Amino acid sequence: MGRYILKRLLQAIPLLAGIATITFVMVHLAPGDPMDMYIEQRSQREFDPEVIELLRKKHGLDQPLPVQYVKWIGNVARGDFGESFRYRRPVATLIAERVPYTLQLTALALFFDALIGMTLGILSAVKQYSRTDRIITVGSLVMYAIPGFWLGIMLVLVFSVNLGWFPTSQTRSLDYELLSAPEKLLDRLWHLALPVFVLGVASAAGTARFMRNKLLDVLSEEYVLAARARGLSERAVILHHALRNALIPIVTIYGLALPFLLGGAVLIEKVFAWPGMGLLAVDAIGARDYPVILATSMIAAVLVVLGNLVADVTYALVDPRVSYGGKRLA
Amino acid sequence: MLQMLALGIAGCRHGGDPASARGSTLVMAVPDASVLKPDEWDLDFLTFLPLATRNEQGELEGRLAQRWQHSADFKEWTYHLRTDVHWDDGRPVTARDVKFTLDLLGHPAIAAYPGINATVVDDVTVRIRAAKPHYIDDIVYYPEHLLRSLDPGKFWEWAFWTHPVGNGPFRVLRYLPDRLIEFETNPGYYKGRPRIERVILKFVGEASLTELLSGNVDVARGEPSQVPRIASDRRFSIYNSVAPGAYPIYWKIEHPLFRDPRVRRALVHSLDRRELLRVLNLPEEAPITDAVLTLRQLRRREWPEPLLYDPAGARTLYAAAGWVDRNRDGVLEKDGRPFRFTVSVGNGFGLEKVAVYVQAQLRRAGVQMDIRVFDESVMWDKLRAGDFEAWLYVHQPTSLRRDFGRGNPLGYANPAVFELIDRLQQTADPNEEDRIYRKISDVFQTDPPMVRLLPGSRVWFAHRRIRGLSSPFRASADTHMEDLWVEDATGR
Amino acid sequence: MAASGWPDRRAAHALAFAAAMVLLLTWRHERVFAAFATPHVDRWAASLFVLLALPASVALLIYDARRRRNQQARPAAQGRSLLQLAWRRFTANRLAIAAVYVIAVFYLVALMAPIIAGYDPSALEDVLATRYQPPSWAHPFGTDEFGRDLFSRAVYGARVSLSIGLLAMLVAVFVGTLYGAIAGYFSGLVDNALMRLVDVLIAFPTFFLMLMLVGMFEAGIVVLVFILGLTSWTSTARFVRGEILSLKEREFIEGARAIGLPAHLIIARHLIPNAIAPVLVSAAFMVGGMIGAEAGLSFLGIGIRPPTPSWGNMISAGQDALFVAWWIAFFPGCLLALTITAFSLLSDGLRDALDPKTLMRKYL
Repeated sequence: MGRYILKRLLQAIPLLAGIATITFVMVHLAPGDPMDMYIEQRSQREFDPEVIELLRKKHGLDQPLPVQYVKWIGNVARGDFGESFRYRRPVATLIAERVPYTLQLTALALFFDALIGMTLGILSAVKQYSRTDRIITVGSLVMYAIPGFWLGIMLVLVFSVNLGWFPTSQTRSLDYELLSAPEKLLDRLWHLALPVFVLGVASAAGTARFMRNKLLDVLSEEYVLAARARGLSERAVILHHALRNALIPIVTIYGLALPFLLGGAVLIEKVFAWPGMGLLAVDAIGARDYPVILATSMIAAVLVVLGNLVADVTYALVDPRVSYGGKRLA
Repeated sequence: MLQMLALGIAGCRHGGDPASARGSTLVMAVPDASVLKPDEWDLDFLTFLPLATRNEQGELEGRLAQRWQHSADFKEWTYHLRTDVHWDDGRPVTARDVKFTLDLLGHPAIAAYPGINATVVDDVTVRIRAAKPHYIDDIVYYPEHLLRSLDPGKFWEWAFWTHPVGNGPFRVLRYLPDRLIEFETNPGYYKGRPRIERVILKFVGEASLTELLSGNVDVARGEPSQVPRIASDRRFSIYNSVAPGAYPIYWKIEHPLFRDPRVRRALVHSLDRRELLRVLNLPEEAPITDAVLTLRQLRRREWPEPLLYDPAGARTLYAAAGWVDRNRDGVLEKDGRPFRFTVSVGNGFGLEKVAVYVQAQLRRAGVQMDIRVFDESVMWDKLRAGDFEAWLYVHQPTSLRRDFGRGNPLGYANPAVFELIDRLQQTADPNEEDRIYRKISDVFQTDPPMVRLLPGSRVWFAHRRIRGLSSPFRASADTHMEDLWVEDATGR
Repeated sequence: MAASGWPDRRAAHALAFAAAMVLLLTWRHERVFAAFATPHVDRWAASLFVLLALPASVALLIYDARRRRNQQARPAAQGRSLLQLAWRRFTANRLAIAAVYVIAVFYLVALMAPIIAGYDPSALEDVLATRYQPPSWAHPFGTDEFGRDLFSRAVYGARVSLSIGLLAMLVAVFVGTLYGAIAGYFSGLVDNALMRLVDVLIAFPTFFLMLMLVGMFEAGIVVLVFILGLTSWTSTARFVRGEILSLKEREFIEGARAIGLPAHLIIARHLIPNAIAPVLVSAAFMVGGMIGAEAGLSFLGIGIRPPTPSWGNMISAGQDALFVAWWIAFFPGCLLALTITAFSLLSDGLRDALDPKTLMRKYL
């Protein structure tokens, strides 16, 4: 098992190098000069061209692109993402501040997705062709289609502003430090509730559909029919036989859910002013903050690769048919 | 470690009596999640003091400095510091702190203000020499004794910025990254303890209006489009601040459409700027002018009358330049070509909205303006490459040289203006500056390179219990925090 | 009365369509004819469509009736092709049919925007008097801060959003199918090299990639279509390759190879057509995804820039004015949800119809 994981990790290296190269080229090909943004931010005073030249030199922007590329790759390999043009702090620090928020959001959304998505999927499959099934099927289609950012805006309007049930932004209350430990946890969850719901609901809808189809497939397999024939209760058949086998493919889609959630998180962070990585990336793109753009896309890619790896490993664990040799069933 | 302890104690005190503390606490929404850092100067001013600030008349008013002299060419300034200003740790503020800060900001690793030379004359006297004649009014000064041993290369990462020791009206109580900065009054502040006991800057991203409406913050900067909602809510007051800058459309003078100054004047006459103020919810008394203004001129309300909204006059001017709507399609023509151009709009500042109103007004005059919105960075590229026809963006009085001086991207080539701008670089005499600005404004009356659509303004929303703000020169809660107070009669 | 039960469903549809066109013509006849006096090609097209649609649907009705009579004359003994079977299954799926209607109506509305929209989407009247009006008969979706009619903007926004969705899907499907087919056909080294690139791209959260590209390169509609398309073809490439790999072993391909058919012809004539079913299913789904992505990017302020209306930037504008006028953001969101749902349903319907068993297993 260890060797399998190691092998997968080694395979990820060229992958990440590829992504690094593509993003670097893209970022530097794009029109726009980060120094313009720097001047605009401080337009209260007239700017010396001299200062700009100094800054350009400091950030290495005066060097030819290949040199910049080699330097950057070298630094990244050592875990040094450079310094943000805009915040003028190490990018690693900035990201370390932001990533936990994005992870909280996505992890809880994944959990929500699993819990609600699977429950509805199972319910729907067990009661196939019933009214419940139809409502869940169509409902999940609609929830999948509703743009998350729009749902977020509408929920803020109704639940935060009109009803005052949930906070409108931020991750904690102002008096958070005064709360006891359980209250702190509640406070955090209270602030997370709307963003997590909005982020998780679309992927939960996807999971419900997938779960229903998989379970229906399994329910028509011979061993399930055999179990039924043995006179086992429907409950036992589903819980002990069908569900276990239907879960195996579900695991794999969680690895794939991560890029989806990370993309969605950008929009949700924007709506809820959630200080995550997505928001950092959007702002950085507007300001041509090269080091931050490059770093956020690298981190996003790493998260996706790790997500895939975790999915594969879990798959291998739950499905004994997979050999650790690395052959993966599609 | 000591700092941790101090924070812990502060936290306890806060916890001990939260209800009464709330009464004189001001919570302000700020968008950026890493606002406490040097060079974000609006907020620096809560904790650190500059040498002098500008008062309501736009004149210098002493802060750290009580008196100063300058050489005839304004390049060398000698400041005599107050003796009653102390850092929070009790050490007096001296001339060495001023020199240290200027040296620090000129350090190659920081490079914020290169080319400034400071000499300590004695404890309370410092002489500052700059290559250009200039009073530097946006620098605040830091304590030398705490910072001199730190590495300037890591300037932006110093822990000092999250636990600063300052000399301003407020001192930092705690800093929670990405969430808030909490300030308390500085009991030793030289002007006496400010009336607001606690200031919390809450980082809310773009949710400031939501936060305001749900009662979580007292003060927020707003957008004009949000004014109707706030105006209908009795809990809040609206304040507008104006600045000498403006939101203009710059014409590309080399463009065949705009080469004729008569056409540029006609365009100004086609625009109803009063109506623009009304539809954008800006105050009616905001300055409308075609001049360029210094801060002093703005604050003394000295500005020439604008070219008026005058559709008939505009029509005459268009016709004189050959532009007439011959085929009655609502658009002017000349030699069979319609009067049509594209304005490049910089993203942000809500300018794309302004463009829509301008488009509608010009359409009434038979001018077809198309709108293209660009990210600022892309916009600058296009501008330098000359790839634009007209350009709707911000005008700062500090960027006169860039916008209208020699080699400007508009292709504006008025020798009189060039010469005036060159003279402006040689002086820092406020009276001389006013004179030059007036002369430039005179030239602009006949040969305008831009049309000032709107005055540079910012709108602020504040809960009614926050007092001490007024439009248009004391509207910014951040720069006037020490003059505000909280009136509890209206309650929360 | 003929035994076939004429008018049947198909005829009823044609009649309903014709009736709708007649209604539209009477309601907006001035505008339909006025269009020909303007130089705007899109208005011409819309008016021509309305005028031609009526005779066309009548002609179709007559043709259909005659064909049916002929069919009755010589009772059918024809076999049913796979395609016919699929069509039959598809039309039996009421949800899918409903989705087709929604999509058809939306695209028709977009096509006829100048006739259907009550107002010029960018005209400003007396702003202070007309701004922020709640939904009413005159303005079904209300008005925005400029006093512009939001229904008209939504109709014009449909043009932008729907065409971007469709065109970006075409780009993605074209690139993905070709890429997958080439990788699958040649296998070996070529396949390996091609698929490594796909691996790299797949490890990138797609929306992030779009965000970077759209945010950094100044994106008009055309650029946006290509960026959306060129960031979304990887999954198509993957499953087309898989499909081709399994098809390649089949006898008819080996036969084609044996008679010396060149590779590009084998790919174009035999492999791709046989792998097209899953491509169709995912293409339908992808249109919805593209429309959603465009909306998201425009919401962030980097996709379609105002004043050109798109559903995404309308929501963004609505967020600014949310507390003054909820309706600005509300309706475009509903339209988005409806459109994307319709494309998902269409995709489901196609999947069930084209290959109910195997496809369901393989691709959701």
